[in-house]
Amino acid sequence: MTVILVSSDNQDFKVDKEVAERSILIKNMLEDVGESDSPIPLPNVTSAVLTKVIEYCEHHRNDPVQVPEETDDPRKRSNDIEEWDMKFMQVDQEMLFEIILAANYLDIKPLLDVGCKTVANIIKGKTPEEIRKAFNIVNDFTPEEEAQIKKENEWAEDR
Amino acid sequence: MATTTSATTQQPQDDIDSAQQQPALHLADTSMELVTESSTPVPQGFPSEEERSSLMDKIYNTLLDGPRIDILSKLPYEMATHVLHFIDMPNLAKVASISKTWNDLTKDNSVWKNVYLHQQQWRIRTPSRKSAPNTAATIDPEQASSQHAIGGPTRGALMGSIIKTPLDWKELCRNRKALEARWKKVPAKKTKLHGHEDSVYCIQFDNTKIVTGSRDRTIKFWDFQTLKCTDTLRGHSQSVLCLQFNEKMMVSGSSDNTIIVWDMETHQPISRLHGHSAGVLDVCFDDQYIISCSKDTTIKVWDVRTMALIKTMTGHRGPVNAVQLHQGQVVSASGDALVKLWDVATGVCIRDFIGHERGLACVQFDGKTIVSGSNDKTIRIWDVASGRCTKVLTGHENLVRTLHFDQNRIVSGSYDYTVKVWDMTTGECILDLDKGHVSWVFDVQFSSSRIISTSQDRNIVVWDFADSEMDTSMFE
Repeated sequence: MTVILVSSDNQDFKVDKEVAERSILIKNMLEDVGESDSPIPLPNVTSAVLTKVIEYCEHHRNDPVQVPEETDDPRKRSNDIEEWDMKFMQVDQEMLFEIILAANYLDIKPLLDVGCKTVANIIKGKTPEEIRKAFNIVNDFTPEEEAQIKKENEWAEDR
Repeated sequence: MATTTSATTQQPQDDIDSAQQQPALHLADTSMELVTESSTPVPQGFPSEEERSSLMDKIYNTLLDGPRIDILSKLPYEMATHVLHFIDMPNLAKVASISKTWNDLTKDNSVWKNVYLHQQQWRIRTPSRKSAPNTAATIDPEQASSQHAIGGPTRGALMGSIIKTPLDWKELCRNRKALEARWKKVPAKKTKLHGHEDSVYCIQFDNTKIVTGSRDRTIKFWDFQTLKCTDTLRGHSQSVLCLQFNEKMMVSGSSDNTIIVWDMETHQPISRLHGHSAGVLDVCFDDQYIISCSKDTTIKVWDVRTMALIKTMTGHRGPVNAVQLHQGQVVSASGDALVKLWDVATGVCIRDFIGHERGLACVQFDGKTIVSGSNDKTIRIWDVASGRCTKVLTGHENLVRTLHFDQNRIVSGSYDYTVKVWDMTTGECILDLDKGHVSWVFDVQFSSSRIISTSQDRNIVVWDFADSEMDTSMFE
């Protein structure tokens, strides 16, 4: 069985129901309306982003459904991203940003986590200057403020 | 009552979904149909460290190619803080130094809660539902905040000093980190508890009380805060060699060959178990079984409700000095130099752990790992699944009489009069406490901030790692 998803720019995407239901938002919608072949409008997602999201859901169509308690348990939380997902996330910043927003809107928790982990991993691997460069951030602290912040968080730094 | 931390730790998803625009019903023309193909199955798996870093470089470089945006500042607040949920403590300090907006994000309580709870051993304490004002129990940390809301400050000043609402998780992280660092140095604070008239064989403590058993045939209760003796229990006609308690009951074993089950509220004996033909050297229990082991070389299984003897497990060829029960499995350590793993239901010995060169004195088991101490002066760490010895810890100069471990560390006590702390991962001895006892160390237990050891020298020594300004009341 297939369903039709409609992006914000009015493009139709015909996908297997199983794939579309990786999105909890769509899954709930389909459950609410019952058997219906009406296209599902996704006014918050552009076709470019939806293409990417569907690619992700296709690849993960057979993944076991995650138990929220398990993924949200900080003790079990891991930064590891599987190789396919890392390659999938090799996108420009606009797309990375949009994927995170779309994953949240469509309620695809694993994709949201992969997006957030990607940003987190960039932050972890880079120096403050590299981070500012990558995200086009101006250091808006005065030298005094910066020193103060460093002092406040010094204890957290040593491993 | 102030709002609890649960308000800030909801799954980000909920907040954002409601905040975001709901999809309006909007049926577009079917102007174009894009059928995505099923991608060919790619082997699942995580990249190696090298591949990972090369992929991260590619991701970083791709990001540099396109338009650059301050992604954390542009994301809705809950999603930005969700990103920070994947960042560890040292990197959070870095995030705070990037810009004012980023610094503000690191002030989110949920971020620090996450960092705290991500540390496997950093447990948090919270009052249990049925508890008296000053008792507490470990519970699922996620429930902690809601329980505070229920427990409330209605139980008086003492309760108020234990519960701080809402919890300041950053402060908890800072304190806990400082406390962990202090485990590398001999604690300045050392208190001796006097009271027993002979060797102190066994100890267990929680955050309200310390309970000890002695060759003087008594069991003593001590207040955890004041360290004063609050009660003395008499029942055994010879040495009290071992004990274990929970909120409801206590089980003690003695060289009078019997086991006494005590009511923890009244401190009165409920039942006396006869069966062993020699001293009862160790006991443990859960909500199903009481397990005892003896100098008579047997292990006995008792029904915790009826107190009836269910079975006797034989196989050891020497006195069984220690037992540990974990989810239907028992691990035993004997003078015959063997560690045995038993299935309680069938009574069958599943596996022998062979390696120690002399008799064993102590053992602990958490389902995955066994740690044992021996008269060969070593401590061995075993992997239960493979049966292999993964580490041999050397350093004690005499029999290793007692040990207690968690995922971080092992604390051991020896006939060389010392108590030592070992790093569970590296196997290194990180602390040597040789100024506490003047004779054999018999038993040891530790918590996040204390080690308490007992000895033939009749003393109970409380080693306190926290300093006076440090609030450790929440730490488990």
